Amino acid sequence: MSNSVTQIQKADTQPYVNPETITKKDIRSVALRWLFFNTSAWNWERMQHIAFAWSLLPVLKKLYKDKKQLGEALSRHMVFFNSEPTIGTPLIGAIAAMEVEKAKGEEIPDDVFNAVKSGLMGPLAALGDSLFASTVNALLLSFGMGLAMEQNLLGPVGFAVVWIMITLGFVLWGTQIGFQKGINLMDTEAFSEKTITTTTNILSILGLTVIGGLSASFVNLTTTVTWSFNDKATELQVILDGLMPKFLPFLLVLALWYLHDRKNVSVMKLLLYLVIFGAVGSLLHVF
Amino acid sequence: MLWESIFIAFFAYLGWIATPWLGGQAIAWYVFGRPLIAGTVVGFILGDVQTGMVIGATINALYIGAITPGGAMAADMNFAGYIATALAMMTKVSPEVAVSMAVPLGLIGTFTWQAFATINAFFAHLADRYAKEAQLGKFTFMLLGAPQILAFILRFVPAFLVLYLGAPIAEQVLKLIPDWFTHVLTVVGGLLPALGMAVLLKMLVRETSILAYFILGFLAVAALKLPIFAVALAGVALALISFSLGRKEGEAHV
Repeated sequence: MSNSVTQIQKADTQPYVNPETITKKDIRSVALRWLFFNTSAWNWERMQHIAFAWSLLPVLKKLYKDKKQLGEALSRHMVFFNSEPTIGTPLIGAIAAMEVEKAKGEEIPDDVFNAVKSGLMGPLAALGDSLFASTVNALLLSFGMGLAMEQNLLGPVGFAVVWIMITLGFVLWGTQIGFQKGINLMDTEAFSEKTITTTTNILSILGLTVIGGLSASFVNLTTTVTWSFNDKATELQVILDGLMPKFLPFLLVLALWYLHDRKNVSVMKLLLYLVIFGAVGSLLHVF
Repeated sequence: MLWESIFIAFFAYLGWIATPWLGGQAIAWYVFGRPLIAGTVVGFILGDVQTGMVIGATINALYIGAITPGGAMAADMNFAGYIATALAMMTKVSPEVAVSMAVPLGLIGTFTWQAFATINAFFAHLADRYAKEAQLGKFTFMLLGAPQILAFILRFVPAFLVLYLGAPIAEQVLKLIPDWFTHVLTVVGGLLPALGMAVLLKMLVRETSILAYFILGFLAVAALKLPIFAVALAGVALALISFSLGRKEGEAHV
C-alpha cells in the first residue's frame, strides 16, 4: 500500500530532465508580478491565491514544459493565501526555490508547501500591517501633509517618491533573499517565527510611540461647556487644558481601543457609535 | 466638467486597492489612494494644485494610519479623497466643508470593495479549472481581465456619475445645508482618526502595560509639542533600550 503511494508520488513528480536555470531576472519578474497584481483578484474565499500562483509563472514555465506538470504546479498554489504585499515577499521567493528543488527531483509533498506558507504568511502580515503599512506610511504621510498644508508641492511628491523607493526596494530584495534561503527560510535565524515575533514586539514600541504622537496631532475633540458662578464664567475646556492638553482625544482613543480589543466591538459598530456620539454631542452643544 | 470628471474618476480607479497598473495595493493604494495624493492630482486636473493639495491633506487627517487588515476596510479613503476634493473645488467651498463631505463618501465607498471581493470568488472557481489544465491565457484573464473590468465598473462608474451629475447639484445642496449639520460633520471628522488609531493599538498591544509607550508618545506631542519625527526617534530609542534589556535578561537565564 505504502509502496504504491510512493510510486504514484514518484511518477507525479517525474523530474524535468534538465530544468532551465532560474536566473535573478526570473525572480525579479516574480517579485514585480506579485507587487503589481497581489490584490487584483482578491476575494473572500481564498484572498490572494490567484495572484500568488500567477506570480510564480516565470519560474514554473521554465521548470515544467509539460502541460500536465505545469497544471499540477499551478494548482498546488490555488489554496488560501494572504500576506502583506511588501513584507510578505521573502515567502514568495522561498516557495519559488522549493519549486526548483521539486522539479530537480526532490520529494516535496504539497503539505510542505502549505506548511511553509501558513507558517510565515501570518507573522509577516502582522509585521507588515501593523508597522510598515500603518506606522511607517503614517509617519511619512504626516510629514507630507505638514508640507502640503503650507502649499509646498514637496509634501505629496516627497511622500510618494520615498514610499515607492522603500516598497520597490524591499519587494525586489525580499524576493531574492527568500529564493536564496528556500525551504530553509523558516529555519534561518532572521525569518524564524520566533525572531519575527520578537522583532514585532520590539518594533511595537516604536509603533506605539508614533501612534501616541499621531493621536495627539490628528484626533480633535474639545468641549464648549461653560457655566457661571457668582458672575464668573468657567469654561470646562480651560480646566481640562490645565490638566493636560488634548485630554479628551486621549480618553477617546483609549476608550475605543478598550471597546475594540477587550470587548470585541467591531470596527463598523464603533464607527456607528462614533458618528452618533459626535452628532448628539454637537447637537446638545457639548462639543 | 465632462473631461475633468472623466480624468478624476479614472485616477480614482487607478488608485484603488485592486487596480494593478500603478503598482498594486502596496503603491497604487498606499500612494495614489491616499487623500493627500488624490487631492494633489485633482488639483492638477482642475488647474489649482495648491488648493487641491491643502484639501487633500485636510481630508487625509481623517484616515491617517488606516489600513485594510485581511480585507477589512473601515473607510474608503480613495473615494473620499478624490470625490470630496473635486466636489469641494468645483463648488469652491472650504477644506472644512470638504472634510464633512468626505465622511459619508468614505463610508459609501467601502461597499464597492465588499462587492468586488464577493463577486471575485466566482472567477476564482473558473481559475481553478484553467490552472489545472494549464490554459495560461484564460488563467491570466481571471486576474488581469475579468476582475479588472469589474474593478473599473465598481470604481470609475460611480466616481464619474457622482462628479458629473453631482457637482451642479452639490452647489445647490451645500447652500441648503444648515450650519448645525456642517458642525456635526466637522465634529465627527475630528473623531474619526481615533478609530484608525484604536485599530492599530489592538494590533500592537498584547499586554496592557505596553500602552505606556502610547502614553509617552501622546504626551511628547500634546504636552511637549515635539514634532512627529522627534517622537519617532524617541520611539527608536525606547525600542533599543527594551531590546538590550531583553537580551541581558536572556543571558541571565542561561
